[in-house]
Amino acid sequence: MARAWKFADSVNTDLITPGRYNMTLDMAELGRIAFIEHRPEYAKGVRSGDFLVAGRNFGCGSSRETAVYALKANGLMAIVAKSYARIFYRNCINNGVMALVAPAAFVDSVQDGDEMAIENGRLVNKTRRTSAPVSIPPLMQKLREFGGILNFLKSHKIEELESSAGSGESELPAGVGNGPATKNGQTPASASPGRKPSATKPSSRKRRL
Amino acid sequence: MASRTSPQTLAQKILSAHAGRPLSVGDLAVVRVDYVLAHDTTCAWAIEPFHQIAKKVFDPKKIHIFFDHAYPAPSVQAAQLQTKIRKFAQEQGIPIITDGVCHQVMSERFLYPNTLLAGADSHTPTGGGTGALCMGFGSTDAAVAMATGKIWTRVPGTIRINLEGKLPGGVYPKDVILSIAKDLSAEGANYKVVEFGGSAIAQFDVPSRMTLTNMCAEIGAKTGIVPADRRTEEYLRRQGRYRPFERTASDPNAEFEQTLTYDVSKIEPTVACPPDIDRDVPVSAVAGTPITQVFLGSCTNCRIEDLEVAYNILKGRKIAKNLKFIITPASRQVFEQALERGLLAEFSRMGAIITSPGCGACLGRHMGVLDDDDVCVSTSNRNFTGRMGSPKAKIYLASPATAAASAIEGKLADPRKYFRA
Repeated sequence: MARAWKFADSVNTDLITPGRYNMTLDMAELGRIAFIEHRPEYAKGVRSGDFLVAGRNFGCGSSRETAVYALKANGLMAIVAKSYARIFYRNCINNGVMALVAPAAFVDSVQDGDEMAIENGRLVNKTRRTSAPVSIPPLMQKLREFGGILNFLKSHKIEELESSAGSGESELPAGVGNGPATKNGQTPASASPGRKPSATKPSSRKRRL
Repeated sequence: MASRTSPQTLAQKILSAHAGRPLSVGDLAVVRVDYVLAHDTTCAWAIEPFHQIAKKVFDPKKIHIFFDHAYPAPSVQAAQLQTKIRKFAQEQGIPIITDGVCHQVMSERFLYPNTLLAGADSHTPTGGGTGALCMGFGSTDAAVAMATGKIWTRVPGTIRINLEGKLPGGVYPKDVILSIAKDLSAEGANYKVVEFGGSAIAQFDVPSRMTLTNMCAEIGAKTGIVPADRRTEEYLRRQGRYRPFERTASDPNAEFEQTLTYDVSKIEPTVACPPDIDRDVPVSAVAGTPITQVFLGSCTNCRIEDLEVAYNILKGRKIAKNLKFIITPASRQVFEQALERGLLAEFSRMGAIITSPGCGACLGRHMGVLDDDDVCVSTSNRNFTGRMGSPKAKIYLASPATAAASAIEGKLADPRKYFRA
């Protein structure tokens, strides 16, 4: 089963990959140092397909992309948070990582170790029988389909992101903030959020995020 | 699409100019960048991604690679990363700059008003003090920008902050931005541009403005900016690289998402208590808290003006016994200015540890790493758990004046009792 790893508000990138540990280019090593001081049992216990569920302003602080790599390396299904800090969120988009924004009530209903899934376009907490709609901004969806911006740029010009991204959403998660960007915020996606069929099958855990 | 006649924000104008078309707030745009910045950590992670999409950088003259986060290397691992980056830079014809914190050196040597910087570091907004639009990104974005000379971005909304009045003696821009952080919270400006204005801003020199824009990163902003004016001109002349620029500003009727006004004459010396930027209190509320280290450094607050402020407090006085007082000038220029003015000799005689310029202890890699029981007063920008070393250590953020007063007492101290007008 896929479990939830619950975190509080304001988890910064220094907590995810502390500056004293992240001077490496090795993805697997980064996976091992995720939350090394903040929550040492995380990197040992996390399984491919699990969910990281957090409060407000997840990923604040340093721009270090190692924070995204470290979480990606362990094969999370998705990060779910009430809100994100902008560089971390952007790094998720560029790396094809699913960083979902969920309503506060849903996040609050999740306790550490709960069984989680994405089913029929909804984020489901099977332990507490709560759920929330999944909304993936068009640019995140587009780059997820390519497995990240680098793959996209191998066959497209960067300018093509402008038209492919639809209107509005880009760096700003749907439903967060009060700026004009949310005017065109996506309504909950009806389709399954994962492009890959494996995204809803916990048995085949290969490429996640 | 914005009509050419509708009022625009400064950020919108700069982004439109770099997109080659009028943009509205909320638009997704691909924009040309004038400079790309990366450093010994973020550049290491950009090289392999870069090679996936390009062979040569779009323009080596527009790319600035700094070794500042851990330079000279404190470990074999750091040295190896720097070797990798050096090789990449040599292949691409890009010089490596080792003259201090990237943001400080960008402002000293390169940035001009109304230009656009894509920086692979969260404190890139520092350069907004020069009137440039400086946005922080990750390593993948740095790779994309080095390859294409462009970056994708949403056109952010703007929060306008008007600073009015005159700062009281012993109170500094750091106290102002900590007060703002308390009011707005650590995510209060998420995805927005913070634009500063008002009669106090007109008096602040560019180095002071850089303290404000630097810390916009800590309240979640995409960047902070001060519209270029005569102070900007003064700064560029002092740096010996003035060239005429347009005094671009937001249109009078431009729509701001929020407008805040502060009377800075009412601001007190302020301290951000661990472990969050928005736990700010007047220093009087925590005065007397014992400390073990003072770090006077970082892109937030270790310019020559900051060293002068600290010296004003410390002159003729002694540093508390058993206190580590670490001074890390923000750049080689600052180091040399302090050397020429005799400040380094004065600080050294007081018992300060003066290090080579760079990020130093700010991010806990070297030159002042904290142990479990350490309590540090730092002029930097982050007091996160574990930021400067042990997750049990405590970090209080403060102005250089408060840091200096605290160094005298070995306790958190109000600088106003030592301040000499």
